[in-house]
Amino acid sequence: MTERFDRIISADSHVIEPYEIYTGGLHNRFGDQSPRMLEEYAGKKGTFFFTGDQVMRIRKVDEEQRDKGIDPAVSYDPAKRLAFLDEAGVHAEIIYATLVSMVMHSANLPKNRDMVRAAVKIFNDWIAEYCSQNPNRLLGVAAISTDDPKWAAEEMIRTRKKGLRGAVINTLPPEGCPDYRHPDYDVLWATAEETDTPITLHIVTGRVRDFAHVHTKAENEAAPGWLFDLFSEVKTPLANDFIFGQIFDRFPKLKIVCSEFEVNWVPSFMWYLDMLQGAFAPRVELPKLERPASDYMRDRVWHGIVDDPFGDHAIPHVGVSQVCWGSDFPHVRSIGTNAQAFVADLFRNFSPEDQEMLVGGNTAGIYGVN
Amino acid sequence: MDAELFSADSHVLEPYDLWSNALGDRFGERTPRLVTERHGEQGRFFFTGNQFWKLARYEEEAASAGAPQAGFVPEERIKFQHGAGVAAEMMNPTVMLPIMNASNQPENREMVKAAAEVYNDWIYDFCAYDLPRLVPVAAIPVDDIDWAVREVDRNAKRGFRSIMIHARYPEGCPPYRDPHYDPLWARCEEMDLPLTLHIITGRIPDPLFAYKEADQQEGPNAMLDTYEEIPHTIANEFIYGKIFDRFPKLRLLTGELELSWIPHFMMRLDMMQGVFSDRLSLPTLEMKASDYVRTRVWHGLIDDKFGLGGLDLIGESQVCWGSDFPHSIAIGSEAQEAVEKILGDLQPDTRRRLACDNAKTLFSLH
Repeated sequence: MTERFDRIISADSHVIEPYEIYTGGLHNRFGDQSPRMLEEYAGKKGTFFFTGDQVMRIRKVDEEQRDKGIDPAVSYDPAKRLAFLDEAGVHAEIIYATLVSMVMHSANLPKNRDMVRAAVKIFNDWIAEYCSQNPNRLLGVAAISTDDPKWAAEEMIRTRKKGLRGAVINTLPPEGCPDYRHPDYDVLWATAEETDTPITLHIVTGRVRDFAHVHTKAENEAAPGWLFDLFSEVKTPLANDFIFGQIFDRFPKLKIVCSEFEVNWVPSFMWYLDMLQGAFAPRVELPKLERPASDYMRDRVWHGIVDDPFGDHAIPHVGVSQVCWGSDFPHVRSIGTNAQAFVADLFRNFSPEDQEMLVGGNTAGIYGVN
Repeated sequence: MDAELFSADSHVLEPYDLWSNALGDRFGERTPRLVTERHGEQGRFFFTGNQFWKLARYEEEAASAGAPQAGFVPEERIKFQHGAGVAAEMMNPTVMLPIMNASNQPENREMVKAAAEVYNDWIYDFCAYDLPRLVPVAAIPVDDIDWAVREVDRNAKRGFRSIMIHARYPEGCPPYRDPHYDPLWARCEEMDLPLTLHIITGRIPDPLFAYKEADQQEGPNAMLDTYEEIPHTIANEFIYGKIFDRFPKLRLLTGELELSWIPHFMMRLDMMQGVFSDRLSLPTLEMKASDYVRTRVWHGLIDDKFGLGGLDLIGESQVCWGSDFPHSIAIGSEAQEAVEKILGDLQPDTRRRLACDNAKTLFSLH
């Protein structure tokens, strides 16, 4: 195929970890709290994965890949993944977990927290090994649970030494933990600055459960509002903690990447941030920021875009330099072997220079990709 | 700007003794009223039934717009309109908004219904001074559906052109999609009364009046949550709860949400119907989900500088400018200049629709 873009780097791709990496050792230590396969749930036969607090129907992803003519093994076999990248015309990927992202959510139950820390360590070791097949093209992101900030900082250092390029943390700290603006977390932000580790806030790692794994009639009926909660959750730590909680002011080199939230919500969010600092300022006693509140969104936060149909409208307000395309491969919305044509169409209204930034240049800058 | 201005979202400032005078001691300590202490802090506060509002700001804001009495004296309001070049306004409450929020506590519900009747009588008298220019919106709490329908009837007959319901159904009540509310939607359809969903009438107390330090620190998030309530209601209840399908002439206006959130909302609505549809068991809709937002929902615009870039997605027939006068982001006596600044880059026809014609059409005020 003729490739229009020399260097597409997906800022948001995934592996699907083999289920066995969690089920063996963890079950011996954590018993029924541990992530594991289920053959029946709520009276229905099937293939399910218990995350510690949610039950996922796991056949879907494999089926979706087969429907697209893609070998499901690309999700866990690095050699096949590299061949897939060649076919898709994608130079490199920033790679996140699938299962352990959901396991991270289960840290909202205090009884699960030791198990979650053990599970993310297993994932981090596994993804480091996976990416070692070609560390210039497979750029792994560590999963780091944040209920114990000192442990999180140590795990960040450990995983950086193993070659992982970033860290995804819980979008919100697990229930009952202090908010991210609390000084307890400063050790984590300081470590991220010192090690130049971008921190990612990704859907399904926070407090809102994944709406795509609902099981009851009542859950289904509530799913539309639930979906909005999930895709809005990132606004809370950005507004309350990183901006008005002054984490960005205290750690001026800290970089935050918002993954899978798309871009078109950002202008509205910036508008509300500036209202808080402007029209509403006399009524709310918020700290004085060093800059206009929305400016933090223009140079300290990066935004993943998968297939946002209204990105054209939003990107000029957010800034071309802050937006990074990602395939979300191999998840439900993902872009596979059609990546070149897809991004060409998605960004057709931007200049060639801007397109190069959006499809890979910005991501290369954040993660230091040569 | 030379266009006629019709504000689809303006406010009165109800006299603070309106409810204590009208209700006497019927509801005792629950009565909305002026108080001089809030949790040990001395000052001038209004107790809404579940929240203490620190007063003075609204009066100051009305005064700074050169119309200190325009919130409660109709003659002054009309003078203000002439000075500002505003032809007419949809008149929403101020203090009645958080009183609606007090319905979330079951023990307040009788009080809120009584307070709404008092308010509706007062706003009717206020607007009756010049009904074409002052258009009343009735406050209708929804926890007692038979009462709500009767109150809609009572007010529709005397010229009210919209009813304001809770931005989200009160705690413990059935969701709006439940057939329990169908008599209300049917009556609004029958009487051609659009619904108004306005911020701070839902479940979240007004974050601008938080007083504890911890609540203040949560302020940014509480503010964002306040703006999320109405999109939730539209998605879960009116669209996927199929109220719009069951009542095909029912229309609603969102108050104070502005525009820039809408493209994102439409994208997520369509994702539920598209890529996520086989993981959810949502009902089949009669239209593309985002099309309901383009045809059944009208959107209040005050001064959102990022909003008009998405006008082609939202549809220019669906946007109604409102001044929010005399609130904190209000456009007051400088309305003509302010609207010129916001809408000035649009084609004259489009400008006229947003500044005036869309609201007249929505509220059947030709």
